[in-house]
Amino acid sequence: MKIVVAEDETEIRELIKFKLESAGFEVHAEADGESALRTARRVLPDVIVVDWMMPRMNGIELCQAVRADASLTGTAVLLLTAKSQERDVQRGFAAGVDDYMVKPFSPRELVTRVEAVASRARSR
Amino acid sequence: MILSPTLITDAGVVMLVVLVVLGFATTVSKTFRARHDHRALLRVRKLRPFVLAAMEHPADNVATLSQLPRKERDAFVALARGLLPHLRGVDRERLVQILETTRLIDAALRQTHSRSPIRRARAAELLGLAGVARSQPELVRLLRDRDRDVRRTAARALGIVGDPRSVRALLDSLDGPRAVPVNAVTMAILRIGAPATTELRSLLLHGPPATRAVAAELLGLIGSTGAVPGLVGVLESDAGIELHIRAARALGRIGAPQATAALAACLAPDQPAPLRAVTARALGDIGGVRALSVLLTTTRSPEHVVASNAARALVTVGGEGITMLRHAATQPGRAGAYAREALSVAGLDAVELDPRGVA
Repeated sequence: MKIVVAEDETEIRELIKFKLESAGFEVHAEADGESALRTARRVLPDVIVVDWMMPRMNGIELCQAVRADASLTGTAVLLLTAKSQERDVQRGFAAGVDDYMVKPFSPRELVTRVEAVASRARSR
Repeated sequence: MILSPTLITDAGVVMLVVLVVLGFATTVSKTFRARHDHRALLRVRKLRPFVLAAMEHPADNVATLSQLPRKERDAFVALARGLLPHLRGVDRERLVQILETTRLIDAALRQTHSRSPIRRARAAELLGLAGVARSQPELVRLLRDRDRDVRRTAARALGIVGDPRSVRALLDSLDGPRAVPVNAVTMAILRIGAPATTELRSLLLHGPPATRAVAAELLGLIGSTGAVPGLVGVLESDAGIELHIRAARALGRIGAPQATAALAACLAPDQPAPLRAVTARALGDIGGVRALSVLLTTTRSPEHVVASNAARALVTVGGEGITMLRHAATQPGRAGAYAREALSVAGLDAVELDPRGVA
């Protein structure tokens, strides 16, 4: 299973990559939204793990771009963000994310959720 | 005095030499700093796989991390500082455990005594991020550090450590020549949360005036129902307007119906306008039948902010409050104008002025 991780904070990006690779996924990690979208169009991942606040293209814009791309219809999006207000969660789901996790987060829970959203996306 | 051409030329040459030397020194310093940062980055990159592996399988990897040279240990701490704020759960616990096992927490405790303010601040930050309970006395000491950033970092760290015994020291740190900024102190106590309320309630009653005021505000923000009798007592005492305002606001935030009578008394016309303005909002937050009539009366107050707040408070109460406002809005005069304004601001139906009431 292929995962694209879009996270601008190096330590978090590397930790997520390590955890997902340890769980057996093929991971492509990028530091901004634009690079993540380019990579997603190239590798057609099962799941994209997206940080909200990123340079160039933020997580919401990335999610909207993924939803508008016919080649990525089978890709699930998991938003990982420090934004925890009710309206932020609503905005995230309105943009088309499949799941939403708030930082500080548990990397183990993230792996479980990635597996769950990927499984749901496959059965769509 | 006339300066000779030779003297002017010599001065120019000296200036030029000074400028060249300064420029050279700046370039060397920048290059040195850039190389230092680059090497630090490389050390973090090299170390990262070991740390992540240790978080996954501590038994196999901690021994390697325990024997790191000093610069690599600094890189490990930098890496931990980058990870800890974003983590919870087992991985966070393991990272803290690794920091303990490799004695980096002990090193941070020692570095709170360092002569370098940067080292003291970094040590306080790490102890806070790792939530090290035994660091509480050292962090309390750093609240009076000679460096402002160290004091602020210590306050934030105490909030994360979460020991309610820090509350008094945090509030004390608001005063004096080495004061901690009030937002750092309040954020730290709010982070401690409900366990802080026992100390806050005691300080509300027995602290110095400024501390009592901040304690009242914090009790309201935490939503401490147990503080209601104390806050009502403050309202009914001659504690001064500053404390009365904070207590009234706190009671509104807590939403304490048993405070309605004491708050209503604060809306008497002889009370200061700033207190009446805050009290009106507080009564709106609490709601209830007893608040309605007193708020409606207050919409006729001669002070703009008091009358406006009372009308908006009736909107906050909702139901009967809005019915009362709708009726008042049909009437001429100031109260009617404030009622119409409040309904309009709330996006409720526009109300026409009753032509029968216009003289």
